[in-house]
Amino acid sequence: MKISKKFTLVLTLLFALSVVLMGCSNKSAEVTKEGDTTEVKKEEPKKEEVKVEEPVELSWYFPNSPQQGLDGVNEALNEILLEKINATVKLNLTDWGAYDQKINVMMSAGEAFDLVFTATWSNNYFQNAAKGAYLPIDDLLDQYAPNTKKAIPDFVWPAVTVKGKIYGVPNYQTMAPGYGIILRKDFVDKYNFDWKSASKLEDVEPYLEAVKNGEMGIIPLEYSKNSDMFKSTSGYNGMDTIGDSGMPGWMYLDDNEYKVVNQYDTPEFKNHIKLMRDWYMKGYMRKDAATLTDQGPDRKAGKIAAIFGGIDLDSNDFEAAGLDFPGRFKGLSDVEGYDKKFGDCLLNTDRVAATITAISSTSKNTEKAMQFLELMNSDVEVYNTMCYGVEGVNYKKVADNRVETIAEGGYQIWSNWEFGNNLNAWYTEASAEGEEVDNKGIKMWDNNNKTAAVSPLLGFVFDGESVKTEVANCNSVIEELLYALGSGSVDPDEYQPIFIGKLQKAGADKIIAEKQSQVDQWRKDNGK
Amino acid sequence: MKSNKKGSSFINEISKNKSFYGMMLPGMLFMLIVNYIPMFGLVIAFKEYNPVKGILASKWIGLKNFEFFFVSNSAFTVTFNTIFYNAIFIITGLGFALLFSVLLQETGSKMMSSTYKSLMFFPYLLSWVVGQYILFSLLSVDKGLINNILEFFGKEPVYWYAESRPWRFIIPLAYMWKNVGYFAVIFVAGVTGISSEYFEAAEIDGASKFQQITRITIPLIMPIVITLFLLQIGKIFYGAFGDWGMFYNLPMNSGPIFSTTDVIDTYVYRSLRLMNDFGMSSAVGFYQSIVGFILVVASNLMVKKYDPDSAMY
Amino acid sequence: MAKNKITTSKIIINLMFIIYALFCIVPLILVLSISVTDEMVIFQNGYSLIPAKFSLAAYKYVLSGSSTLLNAYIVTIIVTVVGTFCHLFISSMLAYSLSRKEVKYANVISFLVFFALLFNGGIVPQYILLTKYLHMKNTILVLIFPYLVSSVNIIIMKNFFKSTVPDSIVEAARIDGSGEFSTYLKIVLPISKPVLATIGLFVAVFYWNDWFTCSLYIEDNSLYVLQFLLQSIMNNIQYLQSNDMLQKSAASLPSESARMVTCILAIGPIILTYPFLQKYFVKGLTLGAVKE
Repeated sequence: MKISKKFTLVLTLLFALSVVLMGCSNKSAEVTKEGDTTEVKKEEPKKEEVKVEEPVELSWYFPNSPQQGLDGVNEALNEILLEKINATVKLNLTDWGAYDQKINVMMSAGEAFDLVFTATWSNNYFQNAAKGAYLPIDDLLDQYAPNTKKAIPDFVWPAVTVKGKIYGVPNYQTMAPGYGIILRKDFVDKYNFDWKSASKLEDVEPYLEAVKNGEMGIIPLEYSKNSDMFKSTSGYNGMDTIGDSGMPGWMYLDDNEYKVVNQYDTPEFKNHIKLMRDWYMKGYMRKDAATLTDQGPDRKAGKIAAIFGGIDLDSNDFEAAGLDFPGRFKGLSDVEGYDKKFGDCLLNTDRVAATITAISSTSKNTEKAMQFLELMNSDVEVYNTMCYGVEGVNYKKVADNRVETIAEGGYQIWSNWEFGNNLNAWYTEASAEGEEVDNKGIKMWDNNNKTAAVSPLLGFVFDGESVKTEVANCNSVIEELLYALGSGSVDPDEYQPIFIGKLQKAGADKIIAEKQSQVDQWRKDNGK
Repeated sequence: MKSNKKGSSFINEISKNKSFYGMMLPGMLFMLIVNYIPMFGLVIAFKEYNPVKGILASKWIGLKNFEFFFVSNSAFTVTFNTIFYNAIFIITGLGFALLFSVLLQETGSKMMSSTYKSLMFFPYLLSWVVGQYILFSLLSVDKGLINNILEFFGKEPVYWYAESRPWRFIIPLAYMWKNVGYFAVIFVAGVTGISSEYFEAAEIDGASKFQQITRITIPLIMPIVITLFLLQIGKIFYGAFGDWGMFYNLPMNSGPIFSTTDVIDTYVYRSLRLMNDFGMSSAVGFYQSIVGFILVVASNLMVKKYDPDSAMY
Repeated sequence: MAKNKITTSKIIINLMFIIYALFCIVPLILVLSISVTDEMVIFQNGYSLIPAKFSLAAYKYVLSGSSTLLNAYIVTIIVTVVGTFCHLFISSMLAYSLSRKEVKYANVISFLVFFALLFNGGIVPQYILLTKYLHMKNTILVLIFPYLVSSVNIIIMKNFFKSTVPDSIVEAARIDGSGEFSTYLKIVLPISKPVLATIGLFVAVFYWNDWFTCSLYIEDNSLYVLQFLLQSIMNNIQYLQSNDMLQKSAASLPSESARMVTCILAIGPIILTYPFLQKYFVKGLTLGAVKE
C-alpha cells in the first residue's frame, strides 16, 4: 500500500512535469514573438505614419555544421532586416547528415516554409523544381530583385531553368573549374619535384613515391567518397556529366554528334581505375579510404600530401596577377602548397547549379522572401553579416573589405557559397595577400567564369522521372562498387566487368537512351 | 425486449465495465492517433505522390512503385538477408541466453555469477552508433586491433570492410554481444524463481543434472522465452524499435559487403536517399510489412501449438 | 554437500563465462583507451588496448561545447524517464484490461492492437500528423509522444497478466470494495514487477538511444538529445575538414580519438547508473518471476 501511494505520487509529478515542460517550450516561443512586436512598436514613433504591418518571420533552411554563435548572428541579421524590409529570418541550420532526409520529409509533408538551399548534390534542385516543390520566381525576380538579377551573368540563368521557368536564385560564385593537383610545398621542395611541368595525374607519381618512402605517417594521395577522383572531374577527361555525375550517361565535350555514353565503360574510366589500383597497391592511398566518408580529419591533421580535384585559379594564375598565393593547402592543413591546373576551365550546368537558394511553393510570404533574397544578394552589409557574423564578436576588420575571423566567436562557417552572391564577399585571412586591393581576387574568378570554355550542353537539364526505377537501382549499384573501384581497393580486372554487368541489369542503358532522346530533342529546340 | 438487445447490450457492457474501458481509453486513443490514422498513408505506395497535390489528389499508379525493387539485382538478396539474419538472431540469441542462464547456476560461486551477469548485460545499453565505432576499432584495415594481432603473428591483414563472407558471422556475433546478456539476465530471474523443491524432489527421484534441466528448468521458463521470442519477431519491422541501427551503422556503408549485410530497410534507404520519392519507399515499406506479417502469423501459430496462452493473438 | 566441490565441469563453465565476459567488455576498454591516446601514436601504430601515449586533447575538443552537451544530457534524461513511465502506465492499463475475461470487447480490441503492429504508414504520414495537426514539431513532446504505446509490449503484458494474476485475488479485492483501477494500482502492478522491469528497460534504452526523431523534428538546439548531438559533433569534425575554403585552427585536430570520445560520452551516465540499475532490475525480476 505504501509503495503504490508513492508510485501514484511519482507518476502524477512526472505527468505534471511533462505538461509544464510542454508549456515552457510553447511559452519561450511566445516570448520571442512578443519581443519582436515590441521592437517594432518602439520603432514606430520614429518613423512617419507608415502602414502598421506585423514583421514577417521568414524561415530559411540550409545544411552546415552546428555553429555556437549562430543565435547571435541571427539576431544581428534580424536587426538589419527589420529596418530594411520589416521582416526577420529564422536561420535553420541543419546538420549535414540530417539535411537531405529532413528536407525530403518536410517537402513530402507539404510543410510551409520559405527559403531553402538546394543544389545538384544536395536536396536535388532539378527534381524538386520539376515536382513543383519550388516556386517559379521569374516575375518576383523582376519585381523585387532587379539588382540580384542584373548582377548574375546571363549565361547562368538557363542552367537553372526548368521547363521554361526559373525556380531558384543561384548563389553566384566561381563556377568554371579546371582540374588539377594541389601539392604540399614542403615536400615538393624537399624532393625537388618539378610541379610546374606536371600536366596530367600520372605525372605526379614521382612525388607520391618520394613522399611514401620518405615521410612516416603521411598519406601521399587523398581519396574520398565525397569527391571520387573520376566522378567529380568529368572535365578532366573531356566529358560533361549531363546532370547527376554518378548517373550513367556522360558526353564527350568535343563530340559534335552529342552521343551519350556510359562513362563507366569508357577507356578513360578503365585507365583511371587501373592507375588507382596501381597506386593503392603501392601504398599511395589510405587503405580504408573507400569506407570512410570523413577524409577531413586527415587533412586537418596535416597528413595528406596531395589532392586531385577542381581548381579554377592555380598558383601560376596568381603569380601572373602579381599576388602571393599560399595555395589551397593553407586552408586545409595550414601549410603552404603549390596548385597546378592540368586542363582548361570549363563551365557546365552541373557547376552553375551547384549552389542555389529556392523559395518553397508552400511559402506564405513569397514577396518578402524575394525581398530578402534581393538583400542577401546585393546588400553588402546583409550578405557579409551572414557570411562572417558580427564585428568584434566573430571577426575583426582589417581593411574595408577584408576581415580576420575570431575563433572564439563561434561562427566560422566558411560558406559564402551557400548564402548569396560571392561578388559581394569580403576577403579573409585565407585569401592571398593583397587580393582585396581593387577587388582583384574576385575579379579573377569572375573573369574566369566569363572566359572559360563553355560546355555544349550548358542549359540542358535531364528529367529522370520516366526512368526513376532504373535510376534508383543504378544508385544502389554505384554505391556498392564505384568507390571500391575508384579508390583502387579492389582488382579492376575482376570487378569492373561485374560493375558494368550490374549496371546493365539495373537498366543503365535505358537511362542512357532516355538521356540521348532528351538531348536530341533539346538540340532541335535550340538549334544546336 | 429482443429489439432493444443489440443497442442496449453495447451500452450495458460499457457501463458494466466502465473502469476497464476507462483504463483502456488512453492507450486506445493513442493507437488510433499514432498508428491507425497514419496507416491510411499506405496508399502513397500505390500513387505517384506529389506533395503539392497532396495524398488524395496524387495520381493512382497501381503497382508501378513496386517495380524498381522487384526488378533490381537485390530484391531476393535483401529479403533473404532480412529473414535469414532475424532467424539466426532469434535462434542463437535466445539459445545461447538460455544456455548461459542455466549454466550461471552452476558456476559454484554466487559472486562470480553475479559479476558475469553484470558484464554480459552491459553491451545491451549501448546504441549501435557506439557499436559501430567499437567494431571499427577492431576491424579497421590498418589500425584495427584484429589486424594488428594478425600482423603480429605474421599473417596478412584482412580488409574486413571489403570481404562479404565474414559478415555472415560478424553480424550474428555483434547481435549476440549486444543482446545475449540481456536475455540471460531475464532468464536467470526466471530460473531462480523456480522453487528448489522441484529440484530436490527430482534429485531424490534419481534424476541427473541434465534431466533436471530439460524436464524442470526449461519447461518452466518457456513462457518467458516465448515472450522474448515474440518481442524479437515484432522488432523485425517495427523500424523504430528494431535493429535497423545495426544494419545501417555497422557495415559503415561499405559497398563490397552489401551482398551479406544489406536488408530491405538499408537497401531502400540508400537507393532512395537522393531521389526523394516517397511513393517508392512507401511501396517497399508495404512489402516489408507483408513479409513481417507472414513471419508473425507463422511464429504465432507455432507458439499457439505449444502454449495457447502465450500467443499474440 | 556437492555444492562447493571444484569439478572439471565447474572449471570449464567458469572459463567459458570469463571468456564471454571479456568478449563483452574488452571492446569497451578499447574504445576508452583510444579516447585517451595521443593522435599521432594512433596514426602510426593503430588502435591498442593500452594507450602508448596519454592525451586528453580529444576530450578538450569535444567538451568545448560543453554547455550544449550538458543540456542534451538533461533533455535526454527527462525524455527517457518521463517516456518510460508513461509508456508503462498507459500500456499496462490497456493490457490489464484486455486480460480480464469479463471485458466483452477485449478480443476485438486485442486484434486491433495486433493489427496495428503489422502496417505502418511510414515517416511521411507520421510527420504530417505530428507537425501539421498536432503541432508537436520542435517541442519536447515530439520526442516522447510517438513511442508511448507499442503493440508488442501490450500483448506481452496482456499475456503476463493473464497467466500471473489469479482471479481469486481480483475477486477478493472486489469484495473488499476496491474499484478496478484501485485493484490495478495496488495489487496487480506490484506483482507485475518482472514484466514492468523487462519492458521498462527495453523502452528506456530505446528512448535513450533514439536520435532519429530529434534529427527530423527538432530545430531548436536547446532540445537536442544526447545521441543526436554526439553524431552532430562527429559530422562537425568531418565537415570542418572537408570544406575547401576552410581555415585552420590551432592544434592538429584529434580526429580518431575524438570519435571514441563521443562514444564514451554517450555511454558515460549509463556506467554510473548501472550498479543501481542492475540491483533494482534484477530484484524486480526475481520477485515472483515464475509461478510455482
